[in-house]
Amino acid sequence: MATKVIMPKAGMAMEEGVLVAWLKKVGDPVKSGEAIAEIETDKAIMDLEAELDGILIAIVRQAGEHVAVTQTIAWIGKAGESVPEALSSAAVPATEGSAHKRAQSEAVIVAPGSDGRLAATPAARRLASEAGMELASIPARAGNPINADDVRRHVRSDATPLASRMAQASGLDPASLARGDGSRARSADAAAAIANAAQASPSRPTSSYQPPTGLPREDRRLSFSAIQRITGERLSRSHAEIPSVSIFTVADATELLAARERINAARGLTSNLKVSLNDLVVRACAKALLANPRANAVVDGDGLILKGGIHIGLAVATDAGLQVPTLRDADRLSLPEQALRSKDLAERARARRLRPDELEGGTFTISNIGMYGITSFTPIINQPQVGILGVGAIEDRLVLGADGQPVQRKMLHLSFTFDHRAMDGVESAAFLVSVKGLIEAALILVL
Amino acid sequence: MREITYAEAIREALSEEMRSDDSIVFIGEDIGIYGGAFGVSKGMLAEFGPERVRDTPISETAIVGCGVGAAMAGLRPVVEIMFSDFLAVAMDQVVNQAAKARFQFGGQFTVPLVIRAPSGSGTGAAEQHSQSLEAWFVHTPGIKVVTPSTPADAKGLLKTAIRDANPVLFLEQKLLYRVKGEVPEGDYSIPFGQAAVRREGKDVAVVSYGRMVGRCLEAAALVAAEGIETEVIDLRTLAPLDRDSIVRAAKKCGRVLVVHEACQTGGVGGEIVATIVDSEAFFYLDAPVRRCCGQDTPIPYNRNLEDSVVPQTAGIAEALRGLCGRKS
Amino acid sequence: MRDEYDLIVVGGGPAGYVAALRAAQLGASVVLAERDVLGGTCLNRGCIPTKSYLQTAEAIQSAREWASRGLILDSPPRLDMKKALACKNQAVRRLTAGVKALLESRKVDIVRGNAVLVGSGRVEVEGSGILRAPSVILAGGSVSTRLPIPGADSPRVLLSEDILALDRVPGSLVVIGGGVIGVEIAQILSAFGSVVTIVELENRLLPTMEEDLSKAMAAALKKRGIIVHLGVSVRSIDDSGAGLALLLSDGTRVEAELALLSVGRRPDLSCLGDSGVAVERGCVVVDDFMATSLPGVFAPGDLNGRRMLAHAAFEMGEAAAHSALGHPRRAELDLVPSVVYGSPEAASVGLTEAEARTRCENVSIGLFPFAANGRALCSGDSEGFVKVLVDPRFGELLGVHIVGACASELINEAAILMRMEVTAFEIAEVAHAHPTRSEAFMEAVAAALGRCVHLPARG
Repeated sequence: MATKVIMPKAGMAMEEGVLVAWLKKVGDPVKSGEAIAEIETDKAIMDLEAELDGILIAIVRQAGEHVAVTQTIAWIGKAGESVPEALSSAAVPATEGSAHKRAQSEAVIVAPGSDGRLAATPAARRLASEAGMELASIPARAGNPINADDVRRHVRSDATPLASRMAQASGLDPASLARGDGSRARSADAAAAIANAAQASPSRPTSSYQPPTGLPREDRRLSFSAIQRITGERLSRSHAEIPSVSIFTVADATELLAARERINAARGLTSNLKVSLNDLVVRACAKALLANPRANAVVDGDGLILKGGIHIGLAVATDAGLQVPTLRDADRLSLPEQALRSKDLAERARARRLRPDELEGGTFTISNIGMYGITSFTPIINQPQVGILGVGAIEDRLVLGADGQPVQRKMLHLSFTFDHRAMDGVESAAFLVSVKGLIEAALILVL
Repeated sequence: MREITYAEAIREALSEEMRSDDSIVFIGEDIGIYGGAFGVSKGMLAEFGPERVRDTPISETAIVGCGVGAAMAGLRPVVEIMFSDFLAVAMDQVVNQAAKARFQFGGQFTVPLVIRAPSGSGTGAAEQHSQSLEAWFVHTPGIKVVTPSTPADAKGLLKTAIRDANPVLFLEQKLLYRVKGEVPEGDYSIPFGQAAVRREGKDVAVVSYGRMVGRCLEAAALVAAEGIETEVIDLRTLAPLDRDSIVRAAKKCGRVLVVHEACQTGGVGGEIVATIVDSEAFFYLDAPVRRCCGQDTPIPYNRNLEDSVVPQTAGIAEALRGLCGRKS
Repeated sequence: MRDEYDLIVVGGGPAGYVAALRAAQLGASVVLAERDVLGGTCLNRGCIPTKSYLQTAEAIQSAREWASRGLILDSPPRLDMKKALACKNQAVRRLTAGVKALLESRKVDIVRGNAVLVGSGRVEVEGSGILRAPSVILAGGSVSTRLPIPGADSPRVLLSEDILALDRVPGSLVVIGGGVIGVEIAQILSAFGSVVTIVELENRLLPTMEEDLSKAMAAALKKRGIIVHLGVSVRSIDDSGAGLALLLSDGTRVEAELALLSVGRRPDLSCLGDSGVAVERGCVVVDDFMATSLPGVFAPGDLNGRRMLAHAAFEMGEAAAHSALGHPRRAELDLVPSVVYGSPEAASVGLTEAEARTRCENVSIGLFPFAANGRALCSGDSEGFVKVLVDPRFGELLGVHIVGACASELINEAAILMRMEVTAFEIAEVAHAHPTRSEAFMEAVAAALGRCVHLPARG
């Protein structure tokens, strides 16, 4: 009996994954534990391993597809074995309490042509027949029957490139130019259709605007990556649900920067790894959280859980979107250890090689865009956490020194955005002032 | 416009009709002093008196049989079955008497009878008080089946049911009793066999009725944010069935999802799907016609399990995405 | 020979023989009447003979460059004009024999003699009587135009067909008319050793072509020692018995051994007879399907004056054959390329810049010089450029104009793409083999879009 390979659920929040690539072809032998595909979860790319020895007898979902967790993506069986027809719907247990899945019972769609017959929807057959096209000439998406869109797409290619561009520029569907006799629509057809459309809606104002000489600049659609979609959903929810308040301050980081230079100069003798300003700010934050437990908490229904450990999420920008790896027990790490781990997390986040567990469990988040010269910003709280520290730029400022004379100091901009349900203004101020104090005290942070 | 609940709309329709037509009598268990198991008939005993608002013993056969006889004898009885599940007890009266009499006696009698019965799950009342049995009666020629999804429809459709010369099964949606909605004051009626388009769309049509219409609308709103435009058809009555509206929507969208709470196998959904594939809409289909229906299982007592066997908004949205080729 | 055919074709030139072949291919019984040699002006007196001489001229020119490539020639090459003539005649004979063989292979009957339309479906052939067919294709072709210049009747004033039959190289030649024929023959005889002067009435050579091509051509001819007089006409020609003296409208006197009258060609209407086929300004009136005013009578080729080019005649001949047999087909002439052979060559397809500017509000121009093209530089001939005109709205290719070596070959890629309505956006993305002259076309298209990587950034 063939065994199905499913999209695994690799984290509590994972609802779907992207099949990045198949590492095995249909017919390849596979061994238990061997990687057969690469999948992308909302947080990382990981290998999907075979759970038994056998032959990969069918691939149901193709590379690039988004697949809900537990959906079948392939079958492993013995040589010569075939994929079971379709599972009877009664055999599919209801999953996950509320989700009602049966409407999409798992039918294995046989690729068109595999039994010598063409799979096409009735609408596709009608449209193709109306356009005088052979169904067999219409390319379908792998593993799917030919549908109406496939036919329309194909008809569309039956306009010359010039006719297509003319139609599109006037908001007409190039497919609508189709001559019906199977010959390509040409620019004259497009011009006639555009004139018709203009006549049909004479009230539409015709713009006298002519684009300047040069290229028409077209709109482009970018699909969100899985990470961007998940992140987007979370940001929206957080933004909608949390009554957030932001407070701001500047900390005198002159001493801290000087200390950092000395540390790096000293460390330079033994290690290439430099301590960054961010490392020191994270450190200040971790110590401040220890003293202000309400900021190191998560919302739990109608209450607040003050978290035991201090695990700081570090916001990292990656090509695929925002990633927030967790620096665990930040308050207990030595400075070199902390710098090393932070660097490793950030690098692997950019390479999309974080393990799912490295993206979970944060109790507080820090976002730093000061290096781009941004002085202050109000990041969105990473639910269910209650606060996020925004680290801005360092500015040279003249301040009055102890002797009343102006001196040049390096001032670091900080913002603290918090969930007003979890903390009040005084508590939040206390936390941010602790961060500021620790930064200004500088040397405490090295300990 | 003023808003009243579904239960109030039913009471208003029944009371208005009883005020204008003395031949209407109201018969059922606990409908008088108690005001009905779901409070629908509160205050009616006081207004219309025990002659016209009659409490009965616990015998559904007697209740419906009495209604059939009264109807044949010239009254326009409205009978209430406390839970539609108990129609099983009165099946002979409904199927073999009410639905047949006019045919059996060559039209010498009509049976202007309305059977009101709360239907559906969601109250934690388990297997014998939660079923959706409309398909049994749709499969019984001679009786009309009405499934209102809004307070306004409840009032308008009940008036049509009372004025109809034939037996009508008026399946009230238990979970909608307390739902408020705009209901016109005064007299109006809604004809049978006319579906309502509750939302316009072009990508996928969802055909539903009764309580599930609301969930379909919620699901349509969810997927609208993803660019899927859903047309929501509320059938309102299952017999007669507005086949034209079903076919029109299927032709328009090319993709159809049928949603009902009743269990899938042998359900009304099958007839709806057959209506589509048996019409010119077949040639416009661009995906298999799918059903999102109750599971073929008795309704469980446990609330979580109960939710899992009937369609939920998320599941309907999921099915809409699937039909439109959006992987989720 | 039969009395009754499906189709009669009058004239065995490019329009006529192609029409006959296509009709035969479509299953018709066809008879073709020709009074002279098959192949028409193109094969006997035009395209083909000049191409044979141009090859010789090119060989002479390239021999001059051998030294710079390290090829030592002990004495400069000399031309044996008799051999050159024989070589040309042999090429012509082979091609005309080829046309005959093609016609025979398709069972087209060939009738010799002057043919005249005597009514719908009837053609009288001198010496063969009347031929009958439901449809007649008249492909009578054209003849060189003579001008009423005093003294132009001198035997030293030749037409193109006469000059191509010479078995010696004149010491000097005046070319009257700087159009396609004049420019080609001027180049040939200049290379053969004649002192050549061109006199052109318009203020540029090749007046019907893109102006930039005219300028480039004039400069190239001057470089090769050809004297060019623009904007002047010939007042009179005086034959002294030993040579000619021409008086130009600006007072200049030009002396030469011979003169070539190449001021254009006009339809040869002799095949029309008194049939009443409508004629306007010396040309037979036809529609796009090549139908004349007389039902069942079609007139492709030079006779209708639409485009006096052999390859246009091919297209019109095919369209006429289809139309005559009841499958009306339009002759597509708007994207027929025009070519001037020689070195350099000039070639155009589509609109000129002036025409494009009247049609489109904005015209993007892409210019790519062969001096920036690797293949051209290696060949030692990097004269010329590719100029493309693009409508920036949709990237439509409006016109392509090329001057330089191989222009006649390069223009075909442009013609195909324009016919298929492929736009500049797609063309600029098609990889072209490197190094080839064709790259210059792609680069010019990219330049029109402002994306050419092989040109310096524009200010």
